[in-house]
Amino acid sequence: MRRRTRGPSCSLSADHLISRQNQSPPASTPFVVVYVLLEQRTCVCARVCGEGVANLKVLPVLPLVSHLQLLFVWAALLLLAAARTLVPTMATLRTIDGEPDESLYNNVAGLNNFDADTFNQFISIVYAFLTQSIKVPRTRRPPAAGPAHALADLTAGTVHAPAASGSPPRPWRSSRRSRRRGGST
Amino acid sequence: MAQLEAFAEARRINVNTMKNVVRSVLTVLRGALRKNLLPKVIVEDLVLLGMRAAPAHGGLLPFGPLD
Repeated sequence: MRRRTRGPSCSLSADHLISRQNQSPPASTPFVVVYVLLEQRTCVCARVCGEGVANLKVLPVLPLVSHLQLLFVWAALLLLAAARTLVPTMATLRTIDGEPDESLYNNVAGLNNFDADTFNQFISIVYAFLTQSIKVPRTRRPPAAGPAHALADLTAGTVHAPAASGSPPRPWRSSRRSRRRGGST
Repeated sequence: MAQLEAFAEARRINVNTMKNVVRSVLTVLRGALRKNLLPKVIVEDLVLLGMRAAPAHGGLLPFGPLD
Protein backbone atom coordinates (compact mmCIF):
# COMPACT_ATOMS: atom_id res chain seq x y z
CA MET A 1 0.00 0.00 0.00
CA ARG A 2 1.45 3.29 -1.10
CA ARG A 3 1.82 5.95 1.49
CA ARG A 4 0.16 9.23 0.68
CA THR A 5 2.64 11.99 -0.06
CA ARG A 6 2.13 15.47 1.24
CA GLY A 7 1.74 18.37 -1.15
CA PRO A 8 3.56 21.69 -0.93
CA SER A 9 0.75 23.26 1.09
CA CYS A 10 1.37 20.79 3.89
CA SER A 11 4.54 22.62 4.85
CA LEU A 12 2.50 25.44 6.37
CA SER A 13 3.50 25.97 9.96
CA ALA A 14 1.52 27.45 12.81
CA ASP A 15 3.78 30.53 12.94
CA HIS A 16 3.19 31.18 9.27
CA LEU A 17 -0.56 30.90 9.76
CA ILE A 18 -0.47 33.27 12.72
CA SER A 19 1.52 35.79 10.69
CA ARG A 20 -1.07 35.50 7.94
CA GLN A 21 -3.76 36.16 10.51
CA ASN A 22 -2.03 39.40 11.54
CA GLN A 23 -1.82 40.49 7.92
CA SER A 24 -5.50 39.88 7.28
CA PRO A 25 -7.48 42.63 5.51
CA PRO A 26 -9.89 44.83 7.50
CA ALA A 27 -13.18 43.32 8.55
CA SER A 28 -15.19 45.53 6.23
CA THR A 29 -14.10 43.42 3.27
CA PRO A 30 -15.99 40.13 3.19
CA PHE A 31 -13.51 37.33 3.16
CA VAL A 32 -13.14 33.87 4.50
CA VAL A 33 -10.04 32.63 6.21
CA VAL A 34 -9.63 29.03 7.15
CA TYR A 35 -6.60 28.11 9.19
CA VAL A 36 -5.77 24.51 8.85
CA LEU A 37 -2.88 22.78 10.49
CA LEU A 38 -2.26 20.10 7.95
CA GLU A 39 0.58 18.69 9.97
CA GLN A 40 -1.95 17.48 12.52
CA ARG A 41 -4.63 17.10 9.86
CA THR A 42 -6.95 19.08 12.05
CA CYS A 43 -8.85 22.20 11.24
CA VAL A 44 -8.35 24.20 14.38
CA CYS A 45 -9.98 27.45 13.49
CA ALA A 46 -12.34 28.64 10.82
CA ARG A 47 -13.22 32.27 10.90
CA VAL A 48 -15.54 34.26 8.72
CA CYS A 49 -15.33 38.02 8.83
CA GLY A 50 -17.03 40.80 6.94
CA GLU A 51 -20.23 42.77 6.84
CA GLY A 52 -23.08 40.79 8.28
CA VAL A 53 -21.03 37.70 8.94
CA ALA A 54 -19.02 38.93 11.90
CA ASN A 55 -21.13 36.92 14.30
CA LEU A 56 -19.84 33.64 13.00
CA LYS A 57 -16.80 33.24 15.17
CA VAL A 58 -15.16 29.88 15.53
CA LEU A 59 -16.40 26.67 14.09
CA PRO A 60 -15.89 23.50 16.08
CA VAL A 61 -12.77 21.52 15.48
CA LEU A 62 -13.15 19.44 12.37
CA PRO A 63 -10.93 16.46 11.74
CA LEU A 64 -9.74 16.56 8.16
CA VAL A 65 -8.83 13.33 6.49
CA SER A 66 -8.02 14.51 3.02
CA HIS A 67 -7.60 17.63 0.96
CA LEU A 68 -10.93 16.91 -0.69
CA GLN A 69 -12.68 17.36 2.63
CA LEU A 70 -10.79 20.60 3.11
CA LEU A 71 -12.16 21.75 -0.22
CA PHE A 72 -15.69 20.93 0.92
CA VAL A 73 -15.15 22.92 4.11
CA TRP A 74 -14.00 25.88 2.06
CA ALA A 75 -17.03 25.65 -0.21
CA ALA A 76 -19.41 25.37 2.73
CA LEU A 77 -17.88 28.38 4.47
CA LEU A 78 -18.07 30.46 1.31
CA LEU A 79 -21.73 29.55 0.85
CA LEU A 80 -22.43 30.32 4.49
CA ALA A 81 -20.74 33.71 4.24
CA ALA A 82 -22.69 34.53 1.09
CA ALA A 83 -25.97 33.52 2.68
CA ARG A 84 -25.34 35.55 5.79
CA THR A 85 -24.47 38.66 3.85
CA LEU A 86 -27.73 38.38 1.92
CA VAL A 87 -29.96 37.95 4.96
CA PRO A 88 -30.50 41.21 6.83
CA THR A 89 -30.16 40.85 10.58
CA MET A 90 -30.33 43.18 13.50
CA ALA A 91 -26.55 43.41 13.49
CA THR A 92 -26.54 44.76 9.97
CA LEU A 93 -29.29 47.20 10.90
CA ARG A 94 -27.27 48.52 13.79
CA THR A 95 -24.11 49.03 11.77
CA ILE A 96 -25.92 51.33 9.40
CA ASP A 97 -26.52 53.84 12.23
CA GLY A 98 -29.91 55.30 11.54
CA GLU A 99 -30.14 54.49 7.89
CA PRO A 100 -31.75 51.07 7.79
CA ASP A 101 -32.58 49.04 4.74
CA GLU A 102 -35.03 50.90 2.49
CA SER A 103 -37.47 48.06 1.91
CA LEU A 104 -37.51 47.24 5.62
CA TYR A 105 -38.16 50.89 6.44
CA ASN A 106 -40.99 51.18 3.93
CA ASN A 107 -42.65 47.99 5.11
CA VAL A 108 -42.43 48.70 8.82
CA ALA A 109 -43.35 52.36 8.42
CA GLY A 110 -46.39 51.23 6.43
CA LEU A 111 -47.82 49.77 9.62
CA ASN A 112 -48.49 53.30 10.85
CA ASN A 113 -51.45 53.43 8.47
CA PHE A 114 -53.25 50.70 10.37
CA ASP A 115 -55.81 51.58 12.97
CA ALA A 116 -55.74 49.92 16.38
CA ASP A 117 -57.97 46.97 15.51
CA THR A 118 -56.16 46.20 12.27
CA PHE A 119 -52.80 46.55 13.94
CA ASN A 120 -53.78 44.11 16.68
CA GLN A 121 -54.95 41.55 14.10
CA PHE A 122 -51.74 42.00 12.18
CA ILE A 123 -49.66 41.46 15.32
CA SER A 124 -51.58 38.28 16.10
CA ILE A 125 -50.78 36.96 12.62
CA VAL A 126 -47.12 37.86 13.03
CA TYR A 127 -47.10 36.19 16.43
CA ALA A 128 -48.53 33.01 14.89
CA PHE A 129 -45.82 32.99 12.23
CA LEU A 130 -43.16 33.65 14.83
CA THR A 131 -44.23 30.86 17.14
CA GLN A 132 -44.37 28.43 14.23
CA SER A 133 -40.82 29.22 13.25
CA ILE A 134 -39.34 28.76 16.72
CA LYS A 135 -37.79 25.36 17.20
CA VAL A 136 -37.74 24.17 20.76
CA PRO A 137 -34.60 22.13 21.45
CA ARG A 138 -35.16 18.61 22.55
CA THR A 139 -34.16 17.93 26.10
CA ARG A 140 -31.82 15.00 26.56
CA ARG A 141 -31.96 13.70 30.05
CA PRO A 142 -32.06 10.19 31.42
CA PRO A 143 -35.30 8.77 32.76
CA ALA A 144 -35.76 9.39 36.43
CA ALA A 145 -34.42 6.82 38.81
CA GLY A 146 -37.04 6.70 41.51
CA PRO A 147 -40.81 6.42 41.35
CA ALA A 148 -41.21 9.91 42.78
CA HIS A 149 -39.16 11.41 39.97
CA ALA A 150 -40.95 9.29 37.40
CA LEU A 151 -44.30 10.50 38.70
CA ALA A 152 -43.07 14.07 38.54
CA ASP A 153 -41.94 13.57 34.95
CA LEU A 154 -45.25 12.03 34.02
CA THR A 155 -47.23 14.86 35.52
CA ALA A 156 -44.96 17.38 33.83
CA GLY A 157 -45.54 15.58 30.54
CA THR A 158 -41.86 15.14 29.75
CA VAL A 159 -41.94 11.37 29.32
CA HIS A 160 -44.55 8.94 28.15
CA ALA A 161 -45.81 6.14 30.28
CA PRO A 162 -44.42 2.73 29.23
CA ALA A 163 -46.76 0.06 27.98
CA ALA A 164 -48.03 -2.28 30.66
CA SER A 165 -46.89 -5.49 28.96
CA GLY A 166 -43.88 -4.17 27.14
CA SER A 167 -40.18 -4.77 27.45
CA PRO A 168 -38.30 -2.93 30.20
CA PRO A 169 -37.08 0.52 29.23
CA ARG A 170 -33.68 0.64 27.60
CA PRO A 171 -30.93 2.39 29.52
CA TRP A 172 -30.32 5.93 28.45
CA ARG A 173 -27.10 6.51 26.54
CA SER A 174 -25.48 9.90 26.45
CA SER A 175 -23.96 9.79 23.01
CA ARG A 176 -23.41 7.81 19.88
CA ARG A 177 -19.88 7.05 20.99
CA SER A 178 -21.04 5.38 24.18
CA ARG A 179 -23.38 3.27 22.08
CA ARG A 180 -20.44 2.12 20.01
CA ARG A 181 -18.43 1.34 23.08
CA GLY A 182 -21.22 -0.63 24.66
CA GLY A 183 -21.57 -2.97 21.69
CA SER A 184 -24.77 -4.80 21.04
CA THR A 185 -27.09 -5.05 23.97
CA MET B 1 -50.86 31.82 5.50
CA ALA B 2 -54.62 31.44 5.08
CA GLN B 3 -55.10 33.75 8.04
CA LEU B 4 -52.92 36.35 6.38
CA GLU B 5 -54.80 36.07 3.10
CA ALA B 6 -58.14 36.43 4.89
CA PHE B 7 -56.80 39.46 6.72
CA ALA B 8 -55.61 41.07 3.49
CA GLU B 9 -58.88 40.40 1.71
CA ALA B 10 -60.93 41.77 4.59
CA ARG B 11 -58.87 44.97 4.65
CA ARG B 12 -58.68 45.16 0.83
CA ILE B 13 -54.90 45.06 0.85
CA ASN B 14 -52.79 43.34 -1.77
CA VAL B 15 -51.76 39.92 -0.46
CA ASN B 16 -48.24 40.17 -1.85
CA THR B 17 -47.77 43.53 -0.18
CA MET B 18 -48.90 42.04 3.11
CA LYS B 19 -46.51 39.13 2.68
CA ASN B 20 -43.65 41.57 2.21
CA VAL B 21 -44.64 43.49 5.32
CA VAL B 22 -44.93 40.32 7.38
CA ARG B 23 -41.60 39.07 6.05
CA SER B 24 -39.90 42.31 7.04
CA VAL B 25 -41.38 42.35 10.52
CA LEU B 26 -40.49 38.69 11.00
CA THR B 27 -36.91 39.43 9.98
CA VAL B 28 -36.66 42.05 12.69
CA LEU B 29 -38.34 39.94 15.35
CA ARG B 30 -36.38 36.78 14.53
CA GLY B 31 -33.18 38.76 14.82
CA ALA B 32 -34.38 40.09 18.16
CA LEU B 33 -35.14 36.56 19.36
CA ARG B 34 -31.79 35.25 18.15
CA LYS B 35 -29.91 37.99 19.95
CA ASN B 36 -32.19 37.89 23.00
CA LEU B 37 -32.76 41.63 22.84
CA LEU B 38 -34.53 43.57 25.54
CA PRO B 39 -37.97 45.00 24.72
CA LYS B 40 -36.54 48.50 25.02
CA VAL B 41 -33.98 47.78 22.31
CA ILE B 42 -36.63 46.23 20.07
CA VAL B 43 -38.75 49.36 20.44
CA GLU B 44 -35.72 51.46 19.51
CA ASP B 45 -35.21 49.37 16.39
CA LEU B 46 -38.87 49.55 15.40
CA VAL B 47 -38.93 53.32 15.84
CA LEU B 48 -35.70 53.50 13.85
CA LEU B 49 -37.45 51.54 11.13
CA GLY B 50 -40.18 54.15 10.89
CA MET B 51 -42.85 52.83 13.22
CA ARG B 52 -44.52 55.41 15.42
CA ALA B 53 -43.64 55.21 19.08
CA ALA B 54 -47.09 54.20 20.33
CA PRO B 55 -47.50 51.00 18.28
CA ALA B 56 -43.87 50.13 18.83
CA HIS B 57 -44.40 50.32 22.58
CA GLY B 58 -47.48 48.15 22.25
CA GLY B 59 -49.69 51.13 22.97
CA LEU B 60 -52.35 49.87 20.60
CA LEU B 61 -52.36 46.43 22.11
CA PRO B 62 -54.98 45.56 24.70
CA PHE B 63 -52.36 44.65 27.33
CA GLY B 64 -50.72 48.05 27.21
CA PRO B 65 -47.19 49.21 26.62
CA LEU B 66 -44.23 46.96 27.16
CA ASP B 67 -41.67 47.90 29.76
